[in-house]
Amino acid sequence: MIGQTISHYQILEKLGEGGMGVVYKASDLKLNRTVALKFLPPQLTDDPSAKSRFLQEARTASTLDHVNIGTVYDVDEANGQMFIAMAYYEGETLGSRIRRARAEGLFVPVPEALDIAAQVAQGLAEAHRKEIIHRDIKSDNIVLTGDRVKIMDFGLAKLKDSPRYTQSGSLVGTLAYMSPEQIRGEPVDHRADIFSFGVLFYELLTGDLPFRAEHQAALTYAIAHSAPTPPRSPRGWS
Amino acid sequence: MKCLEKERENRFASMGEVAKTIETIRRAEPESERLPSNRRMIGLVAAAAALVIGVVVTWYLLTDRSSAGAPIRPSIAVIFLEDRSAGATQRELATGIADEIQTELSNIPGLQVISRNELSLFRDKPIGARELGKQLGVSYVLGGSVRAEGSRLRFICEVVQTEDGFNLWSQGFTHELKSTLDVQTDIAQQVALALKKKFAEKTAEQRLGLPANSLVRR
Repeated sequence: MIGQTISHYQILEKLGEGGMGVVYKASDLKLNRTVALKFLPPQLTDDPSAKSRFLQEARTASTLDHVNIGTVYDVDEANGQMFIAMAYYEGETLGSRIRRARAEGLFVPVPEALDIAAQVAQGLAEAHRKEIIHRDIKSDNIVLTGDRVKIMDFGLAKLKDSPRYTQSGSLVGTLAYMSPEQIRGEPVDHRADIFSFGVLFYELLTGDLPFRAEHQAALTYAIAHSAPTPPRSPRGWS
Repeated sequence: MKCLEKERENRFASMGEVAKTIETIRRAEPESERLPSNRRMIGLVAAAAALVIGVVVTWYLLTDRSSAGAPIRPSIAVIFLEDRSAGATQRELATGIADEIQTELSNIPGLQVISRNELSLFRDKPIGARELGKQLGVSYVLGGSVRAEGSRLRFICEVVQTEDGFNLWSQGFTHELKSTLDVQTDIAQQVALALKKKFAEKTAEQRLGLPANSLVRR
């Protein structure tokens, strides 16, 4: 894959891999800029209705233009595989920032946490103004680049409604951020994002997730019925 | 936390409300950096409590967080509008609308408008409002998109504060695509009128000594 040219993108290196596909750093040969290409797992888009739903969603998401939202340039298909061309941001995900702090027994400093939360909130507020719901807000979908925070993967979450999508391990991570109504499979509105943002904010301040359980079913139950876990040993208190 | 309510009716009503609440907490936060960590925790708990109760949202926090500074005349850059029509057939119309808006805005007393010439360097380049604000030294950026569908034209317009990236104002317009010139003038006049009102509100707030410092640059 590396070194290959797909459409007018030359693949440079692999950046990561998740439940929603493989991400490569690539060079846009037409516009001479560095981009991130996300190749979607073929099983997500081989059903024509899922594919058209995805295209629709991605197009809507690409109309978002906000300093706290990762820019989507293009949605395309090559060799039967759908991919999204997005702005490439140098930086780490919020998830990795939180884990890094945790590994050192620390927390993300409060002013930094509030700054990050404020920027995520502003990005989401803008999307909601345009009636676009993210549906999959989580720390691994937030990229910290310099002093700017970017929300990534708008519109991708809808793919998960696709009946052929199997609940693999990657979904479990996402499940922890899901609102009770999403878990119940009900139609969602922007308030689902508000819930997920609450989970994210809790995680940002405490380093832990508010709803924790040994397995998926228990987690589902906790989100739907239990109060959030009180912070473990919060900043300087025991 | 109020965001984590099981029933969505009990959560914050909008992300904008959440953003404002976080701003409230941030304003209270800076001094706590000097406090010992358990005192900081108290600050944090108080902040979290504020989120839970959600009563702290005050209207004046609508304004941004810049501190002191001398008021300057507000300035605006009307950037090239994006053509989202199939086949990008409306580029000329998009340019025309931007030109008209530019002309209308330059008639608003006290508002400085950046010349089209200055802006041509940024055409078709993805650049955020904050960055543009820095490079051009403007306090606002007006942008938007046009999309033609059949005989109708949809125009979405928004004004962003370059200091913080906040959206000051946005509105959508739908027009019958009969006469291009009429559409351009009509839209431009409506935009100018709405903005005049918005800026007048800001100025009034400022005169009353309210922290309407989005017209203030550091």
